[in-house]
Amino acid sequence: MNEIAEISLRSIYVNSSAILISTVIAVPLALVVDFFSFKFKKTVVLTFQTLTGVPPVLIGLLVYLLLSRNGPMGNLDLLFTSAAMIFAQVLIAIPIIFSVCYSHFSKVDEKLRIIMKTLGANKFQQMMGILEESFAGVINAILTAFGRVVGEVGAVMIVGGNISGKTRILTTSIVLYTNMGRFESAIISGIVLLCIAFTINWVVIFISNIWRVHDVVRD
Amino acid sequence: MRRLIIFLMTALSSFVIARQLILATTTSAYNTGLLDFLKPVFEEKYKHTLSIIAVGTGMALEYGKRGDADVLLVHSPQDEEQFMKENHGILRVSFMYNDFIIVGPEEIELPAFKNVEEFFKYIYDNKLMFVSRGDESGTHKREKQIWQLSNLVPENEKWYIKAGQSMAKTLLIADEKRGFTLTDRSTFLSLKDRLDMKIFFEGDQKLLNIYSLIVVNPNKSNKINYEGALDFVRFILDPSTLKMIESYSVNNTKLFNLLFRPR
Repeated sequence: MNEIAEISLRSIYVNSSAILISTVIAVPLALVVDFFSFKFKKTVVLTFQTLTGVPPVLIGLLVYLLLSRNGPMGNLDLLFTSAAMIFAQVLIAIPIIFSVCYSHFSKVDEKLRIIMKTLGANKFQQMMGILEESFAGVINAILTAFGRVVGEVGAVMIVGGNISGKTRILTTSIVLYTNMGRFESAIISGIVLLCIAFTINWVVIFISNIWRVHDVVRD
Repeated sequence: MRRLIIFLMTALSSFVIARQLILATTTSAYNTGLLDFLKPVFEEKYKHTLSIIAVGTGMALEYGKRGDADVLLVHSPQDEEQFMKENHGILRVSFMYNDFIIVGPEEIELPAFKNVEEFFKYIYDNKLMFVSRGDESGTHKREKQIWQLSNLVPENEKWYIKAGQSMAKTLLIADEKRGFTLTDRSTFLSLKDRLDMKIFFEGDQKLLNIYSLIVVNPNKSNKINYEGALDFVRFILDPSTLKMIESYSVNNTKLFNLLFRPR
């Protein structure tokens, strides 16, 4: 039981770090791409949308080759650490968060943009306005990415190595327990994973609802 | 916001980690629990952090070739010799063994066989379902060798299934399909309660399953923990560790035998 608790905590740590980092990168990026018009805008958007379809194991393989001791980033000594797993999951999550956010940002009413401009809002304020308007969309993006990352097993297995007490998380432990024929432990891990996913979804939706209510009251 | 910063800092702090010893091992040895049993003893004695990565023998050797692991525990003598010949390893010690067995459906009765080739030929001639690991693991490689020794090519036959999965999963598939499979004794014993299977063939010299430790050539990368790898070999060859390995048992069944007497 102790082992499962430790594995669960590591799962939460790895998944939420990955989601936080990718949110911090992808949301502003989507905002900037949406706000400014430039030459390769369509290509950029299309690239990210295509990347959402890349199988996680392939990303795992690429990250493994990058971090391998003789690979281009081998000097960082990251292979078989939780940082490597976070890195792989960030790469999986960024295109998802970017694409979902972008589609919500681009749907923000053109009138709102014009009104903000005429009221004298600077570029940053205008972007914040767009962000606030599509807040539910951003939450949706984060939850979608979280859903993908929390159930991910192939990539973290390759780059993390499933080391007991170090890089073993719930999904990889389910694989190991199944391989060992220990189905009871595998099922327990599965239930814990399900609970974590439910709780985090529920908490995020709850918080975003409070935000909305708060917003309405403020207005 | 402060939460976020703290979170990011913890994420970044895990980028800076202590030097560790990476052992790449075959799943069949890892799944018995032997290594998790020895790990704390080693860490206490030699002050290294031991990270055990369980993959097939093929992958473990590949990690060695790339310099991603410091020490290997594998069981495919031919490949190991090739590995040493190509200078990927600096030291190889064979120290323990168990054996492969051929198992199949409980309800089937078969005549007795002189050797394992004869048994494989019987399977081939009678088109009995055979489930292969099919994953280039040590076990799969041994199976392929025996087919070769028997001068038979089962690859494209209908009754020959390639699971592409671990030993335990392969056993479960064989059980489900009522087929035969070649397995190491330890995995079979650890799963026996769940399977409707019995041993059909055992005890042939060609079914000996020898495990070896390989210290990866430190020239592979300046990141290789060569000292740690040597310490690990020293630890395994220590008489007290050898005695622990010999007496290690799961469900009152001893799983490994030593290749030499500890003194």
